[in-house]
Amino acid sequence: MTTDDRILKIEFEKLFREHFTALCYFARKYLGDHDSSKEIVHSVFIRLWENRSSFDWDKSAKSYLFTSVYNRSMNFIRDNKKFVASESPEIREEVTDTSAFSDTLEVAELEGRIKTALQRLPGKCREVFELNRFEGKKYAEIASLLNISVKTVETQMSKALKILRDELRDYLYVVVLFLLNNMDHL
Amino acid sequence: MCVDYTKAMDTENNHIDPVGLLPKYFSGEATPEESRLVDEWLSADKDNRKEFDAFAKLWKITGSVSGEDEINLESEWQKLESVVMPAAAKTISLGRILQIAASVILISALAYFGTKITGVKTESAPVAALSTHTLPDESIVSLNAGSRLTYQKGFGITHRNLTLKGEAYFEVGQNATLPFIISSGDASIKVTGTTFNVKAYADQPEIRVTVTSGTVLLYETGKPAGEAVLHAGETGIYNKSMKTVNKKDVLDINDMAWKTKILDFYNTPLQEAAGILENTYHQTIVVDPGVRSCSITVRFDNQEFGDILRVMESTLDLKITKEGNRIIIFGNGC
Repeated sequence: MTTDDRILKIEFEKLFREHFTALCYFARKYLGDHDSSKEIVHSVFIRLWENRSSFDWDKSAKSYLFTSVYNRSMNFIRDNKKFVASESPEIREEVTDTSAFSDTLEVAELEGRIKTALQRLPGKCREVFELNRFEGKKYAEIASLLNISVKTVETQMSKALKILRDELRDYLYVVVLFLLNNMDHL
Repeated sequence: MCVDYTKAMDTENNHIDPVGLLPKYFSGEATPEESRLVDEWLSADKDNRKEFDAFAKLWKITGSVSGEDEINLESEWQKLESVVMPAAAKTISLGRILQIAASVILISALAYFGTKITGVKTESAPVAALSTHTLPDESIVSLNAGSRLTYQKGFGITHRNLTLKGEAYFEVGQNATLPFIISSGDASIKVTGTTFNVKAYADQPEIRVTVTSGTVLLYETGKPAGEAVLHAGETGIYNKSMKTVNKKDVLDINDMAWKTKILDFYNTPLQEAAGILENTYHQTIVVDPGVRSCSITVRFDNQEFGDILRVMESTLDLKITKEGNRIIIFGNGC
């Protein structure tokens, strides 16, 4: 490994750690399958490493990664006709609708960050929040399940949301338009 | 809760903490009164709307992230690394493995010894000889009593990642393409220099890395971006509860005493000294509260444990006895 390679490897690892999770969620939006999504993201990183000497590291690597994952996901769907995507209402042949692409990208990124941020919530707080958000449990249900008061559930929910807001501040105030368009089923 | 917010409303609109009500509002569990408060707060100020939108977005997206599909970034990276880097690994010859250039020591926190002395933690370190092993990459490791080292298949070929529980001293061969990474739960240590020496324990509030030569990176596991770069003569301290990495430009020779049998106490509180002695000689030492704060200044170089006790007994006017397998230190105070 040359000195240049060593520097590139550091860059490469940085890119991986920063974007891998979001890229997986991004691919899953189209494929609906977690394992295939991870495989596709891995293949994109492998390809990037193989082309490291010709790759323009100064250009936006992030958009390269997301575009590649998108294209590979589309190919995957084409090559696996039997494959039924469980939640992929927005399958397109190529990246033509850039606003939808970047919305999906943005949501995937935020999901990745949220996943990471959730792992950092205090134990009880996380438990309450996940029961409500992931399992759809009502406040009263959570209270009796965990043997705590409804008031405590309220406090923990607020606490969780506040911590997440603080951790994700950079992402939450960016695209308001997207949000307004998607507020309907809140 | 409802009453509190009503009060806030009555006095001044802006004093409402929206986060208190928004989760209920979003999940449809807010009372009509609470919903009204949110709506009023919302229309009161443009900034409130911005705040609300941010929370609404957060709420919506947390709902679309399921509880499953956890991604372990560390193992995913190792998977990728083993696919992408093996070509580089093949070019490594034994000739590139150089002699010791760096030493790292991961140190158990003194607080840990403290709990042992006060008897909160009852089991004592077993008296055991140090064991020395040669790893597949020709690195040499000495393990302290009761310590354990694990690594996956392919060590030295596709990776050099280790997990350490306890304490160990490493002499690591140079291999620029395969960094030597030791993870000890919360913190990881990456060696970029040629050789190193590690010492680590599991259940302590902090992890200490002391570097005698070369360069070592210390970081929270999974977050190499927040690394501290430690050079020779520096100590890195990772605080497990705060998740912080701090650096000190001092080196404590006692951090390596278990390996070197060199102890250097300078105005060291007796309790602290006892902790270091316990770890060095694998004996359980109980210090009577009356003499715990006595300080000791003395240097021992490869002394027998019994001789050390005799020196301490006479210089500090202490009484030292053996009860079962415990050493009891007491006296008239100082």
